[in-house]
Amino acid sequence: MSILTVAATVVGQSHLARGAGCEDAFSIVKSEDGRWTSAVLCDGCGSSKHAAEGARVTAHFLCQELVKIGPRIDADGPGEWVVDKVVTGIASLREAMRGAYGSDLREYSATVVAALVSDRGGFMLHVGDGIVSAFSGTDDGQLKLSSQSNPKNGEYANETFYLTEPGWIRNVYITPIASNPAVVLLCTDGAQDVIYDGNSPVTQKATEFLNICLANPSEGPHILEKFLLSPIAARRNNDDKGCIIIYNTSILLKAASGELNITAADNIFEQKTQSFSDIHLIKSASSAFNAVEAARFHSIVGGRVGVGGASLIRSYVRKNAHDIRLFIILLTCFTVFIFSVYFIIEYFQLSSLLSLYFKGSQLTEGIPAESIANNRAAR
Amino acid sequence: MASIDFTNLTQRTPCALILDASMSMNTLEGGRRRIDLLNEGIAAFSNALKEDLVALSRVQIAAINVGGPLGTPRIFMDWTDASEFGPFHMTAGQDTPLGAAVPIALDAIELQKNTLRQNGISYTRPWLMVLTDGAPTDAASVWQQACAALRAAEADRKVEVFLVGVGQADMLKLSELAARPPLAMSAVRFREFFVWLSASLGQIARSVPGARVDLPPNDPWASVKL
Repeated sequence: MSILTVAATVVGQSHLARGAGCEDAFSIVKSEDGRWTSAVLCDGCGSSKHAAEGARVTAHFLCQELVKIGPRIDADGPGEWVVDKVVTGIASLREAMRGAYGSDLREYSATVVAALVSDRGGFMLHVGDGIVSAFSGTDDGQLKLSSQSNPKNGEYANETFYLTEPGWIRNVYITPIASNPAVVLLCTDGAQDVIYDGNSPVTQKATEFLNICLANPSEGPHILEKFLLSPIAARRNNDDKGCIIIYNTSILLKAASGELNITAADNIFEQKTQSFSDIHLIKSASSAFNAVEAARFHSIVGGRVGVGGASLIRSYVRKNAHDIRLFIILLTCFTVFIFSVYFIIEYFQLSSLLSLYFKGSQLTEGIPAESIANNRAAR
Repeated sequence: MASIDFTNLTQRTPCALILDASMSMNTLEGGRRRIDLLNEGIAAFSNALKEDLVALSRVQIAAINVGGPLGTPRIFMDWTDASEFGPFHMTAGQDTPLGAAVPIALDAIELQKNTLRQNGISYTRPWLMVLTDGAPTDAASVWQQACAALRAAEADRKVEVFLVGVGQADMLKLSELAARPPLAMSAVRFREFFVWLSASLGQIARSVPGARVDLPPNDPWASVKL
């Protein structure tokens, strides 16, 4: 697998306004055999005193821990042990941070989005907000979203999770990446608001953006930085912005057009798939880790995957609450209308008149019109 | 009766108020009865919320009385969107069963979270504001249960608790309720307190994950700084 990585972090306007620097940090490491790439992107918690240092240390340390896992997957194959290794790696990070900073780690809090990838796939690691998407490539240059790890913010809209919290293990999510990923995109929440539309990659913007960086490999980080610092980006989000793009150039160069394209149809399809829950995405990732293993990962690390039907229904109702309400209102209106008609017929005793009319019609069926007219004239 | 616009799907910031309306609220302070100052504060709260468009569409209020003509704590005003919130009038009377009001407020908060979830509306961590000018008159067991329940809810991140002791409130007793220490305030500062509360809820309503939330300074009303 021939890998090209492009990464950048930029300071946000809100951080500049309070005299703070960039609190997003990243680290990218390749395994010794060059087959695996580990990428970690962290967003320091704005309310932590040493958020920038926390992000930097977390990114660097976890990247080193993750890359060790790759060669062992080659040797032993994927399995539950991968989760154990990830959890052990995080525990080692916490231990190292406690050694350096003391027992209270909250002032060094940072969210984590990470990926370990090779041609046989890999996995995403996620704690807190931010987003990771893996795209597979097709021969005509189309990019298709194959798996995604959405923001994990918990119950409250304005809060997220960090590895420095006491219950951190409940908030670690691992999502498999299918074999031969064409592009893996990692974003902190600030960059997500610029590149994505909610949790769906924005077709035109994402495509242009990925193409521009790919077309100019040596200038990639500069282009990415410029893009994240652009006025449009600043308008969409004034937070720090961090992004890592991992290109599998051996796949992308096979593409007939030589240019990437994320089709709108695929996006719409993927949006609907995501609305149910991550389990669909896990099922779609078949090579590196099968669905059973993936579900086991989640159960082990306490990932909240909605496996049951009730969970799917709840999720569906939540996402489509507006349409469901509209449907209920229309159904109610229709029912009221039917009952009103019935009531009017009954109240004014129209039913007998109507039946007489219809009976009358039936009685005259088959009788020549001339005879009916003569009969009426006689009466 | 709750007044919530469920077609407004923007995230909400619920805030429950436990308001002391016991007999001691008839005490004069600065030549005015505390209960009258409280009612004026609530009116100022309503006005301040209406000046902030974000708060107006996102903040939700509920009020639980402690004391008052009926004495028993109850939901005086069920959950109401800030856009529908108008000033209400409280009358002072009877004891201060503050401990009995706590589980009512916690239940109301959990119920509201469920309602919002069922309607596909996200929310920030609810705030619970406790304002009292005296000492709880509950039985010791009721008070202890209330303290344990509120501290557990606070530790489980179910609610953000703020305690405010007005006038000669028993601050030591009040501090048993939650981990965050209570703040002292003069009743003549009710108006400033509620304006601050409106501005703070506006900040929370605007906040995003991981970002620092700088609440406005509480200098205008608090005797002790946050």
